[in-house]
This record gives sequence, C-alpha cells and structure tokens, in this order.
Amino acid sequence: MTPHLPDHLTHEELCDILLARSPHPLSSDFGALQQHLANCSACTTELANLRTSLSVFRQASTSYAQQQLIQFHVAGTPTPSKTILQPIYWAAAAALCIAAVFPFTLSHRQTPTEPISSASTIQPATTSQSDEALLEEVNQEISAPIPSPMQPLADPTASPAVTPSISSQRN
Amino acid sequence: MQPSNGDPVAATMPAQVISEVLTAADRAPATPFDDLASIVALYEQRIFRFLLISTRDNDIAQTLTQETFLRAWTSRTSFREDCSISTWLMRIALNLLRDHTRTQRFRFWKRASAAAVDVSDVSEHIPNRDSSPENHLIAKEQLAIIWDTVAQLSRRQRTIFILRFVEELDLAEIATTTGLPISTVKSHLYRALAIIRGRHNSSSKDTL
Repeated sequence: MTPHLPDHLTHEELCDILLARSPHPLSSDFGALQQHLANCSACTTELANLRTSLSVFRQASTSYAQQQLIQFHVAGTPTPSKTILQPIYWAAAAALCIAAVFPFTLSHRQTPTEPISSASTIQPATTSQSDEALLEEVNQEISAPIPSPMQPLADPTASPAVTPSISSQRN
Repeated sequence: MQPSNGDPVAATMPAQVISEVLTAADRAPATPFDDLASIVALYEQRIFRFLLISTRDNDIAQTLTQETFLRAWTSRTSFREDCSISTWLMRIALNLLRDHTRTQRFRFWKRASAAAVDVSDVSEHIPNRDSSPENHLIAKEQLAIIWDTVAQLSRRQRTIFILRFVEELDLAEIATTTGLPISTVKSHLYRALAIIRGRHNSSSKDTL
C-alpha cells in the first residue's frame, strides 16, 4: 500500500478513479478531486501512467488472444510451433531412451561372455558340407547291422552245420 | 439396430433410446443455449481471452474454452436467466479454471509447456498508433510491468484484476461471477493496484 501523502490523492481515491468509481459528479468530493488533479502534476502523471499501462495491457492481451483464436480456427489444431524445439522435450526423450536401454546393458554385462565357437565362423558352404557328412554318418549308423549282443539267439533246432559243435571247435 | 443417418452416435444407439432422448429434448424448456453455434460465435472470444490471460497457455485455454461451452450445453436447463449469458459462461469458465489450476499436473506442465505465452509474444500486439520508437519502448516496459505483476498476484486477485481491466466488467458483475461480495472484490483490486503502483514507482526510480 502506498503511504498516504496529505498533499496527494490517497491510494483508495486513486484506485476509485481507475475503477471508474469516483464520487458522483455533482458531489463536493468529486469537485475536490478534480481540483486536486488540476493542480497536482505528480498525481496527474501517476494516474496517466497507470491508465496507459492498464490500457496497453488490455489492448495487447485482447489483440493477442484474438490472433491466437483465429490461428486455432484456421489450423484446427493447436500450433505446435515451438513444441519440438523445447529442451525439456529433448531431455525427456533422452531420459526415456536411456531408461529403455539401460536394463539391457546391465543384463548384457552380467552374462558371461561365451567364447566364439568355431561353428559360428564357418562359412555357409562349409556348414552345408559338414551337415551332409553328419547326415551320411547318421544314415550309416542306422543301416549298420544289429550289434552282436543284441542279435537274436540261435535256433537250437537248427542243423549242426550251421552251428559248429563244441567238439569241432576243440579240434 | 436402426440404420443411422451418418451420425456415429445414432449408429450405436437403439431406436428406442434415440426416441426417448429426442422426446426429452422436446419436453425440455427452450434455453438460449439451444442455439449453441450462436452462443459460441458471440462469447468464444471473450471466454478464450479470459482463460488465455489467466493461464498464459494456449493449449490449456483452448481446451478449457471448449469445455466451458460443453458444460454450458450439458447443464443448459439449469440456466435460470438470473444473470446474463456472459456472466454464466464466465462463471463456468472460472470454475473450470480453478479446478484445473489446483492440480499438480497443471503446475508441472505450466513450467514445461511450449504453449506458454511469453510477454514478448504479447508485446508484438501493442497498438502502434504512435510510431515513435521511444514511446513504443515505454509501452513495452509498461506492459512488462503489468504482465509480471499479474503473474505475482494470488489466483483470486489475478482473476478479479483480469475481469476488471481486460474484460472491463464492473464490480457488481465481477461479484456475481466470482460469488464474492463487492467489498471483497474492491479490496482485491486495491491490493493488486498497490502492487502495480509499487512496481511503477520503482521502475521510474530506476530509469532516473
């Protein structure tokens, strides 16, 4: 609150003039106020400055708002003029990227590094050759005769020529 | 399901519901808000301006302006015509603004928002009646003082200040809009003007 100077208008008197709440024009108070303003350049100047400032504020705000509303209607959407240039958006995007990548980096560090197998360095042609060799080996194993321990027992009713006798073996 | 006439809402509503809604609309008393397009055309500028200067954010102001007219439409039957349409709309806008600015989310996005209005944006709209560069510079300084001071006011003081000095409502209209006594409105304006006078005086001393 501005201190009251006896030679000048009080803050309330000045505000009442700005708020268009001056005393009634026919009252004696109104006459005294007008008399004071006519004689006091300080109060007149301050009042004029405040009026000008408030007027500039109102006119500029009104004009700006009008322009913004027209732009909004023309564009149909809010103008993203400076949005992409804001550093905070870039900072947020960077933070998100780091947050997304960091867990993978950690897990990657924690897993022991496996030695590079020779198979991974083999050329595709070599790989196919080795595959064929492996398949061939499997085929051979499948087509191989049944191992002797797994062969069925010899028929005891078979002829002795087929199964040599013990005596002939001794000989 | 009835064939719709291209209305996506109607396409998803059974015919019985549509007829009930239409009957209810027929029964509802006529309000000025029935012709919403005319209401928007008349008052959008004022509501948007008030919300823009209050929030200083284009996106929020646009969103709240649309929300204001949506609320007015949905609650149009409660408009008793005991105040003007402008006052009623302004009251809705004020309530929305209060609800919105209370949230922490608003405070965060106000700091971060790219749609925030800067005084330099507004100062480009200073009327250029006097082409003198010196006077234009003085006007820019005066605008900056008021702009900064308004930002420092309390929410209620700022609202009352904008309603008086931008929307040019008289004290009785401000009292009706805000629901405050006229004496309270006046004291808020006195305090706001005291701060502005203080800034003016210190600025004048600095330039001397």
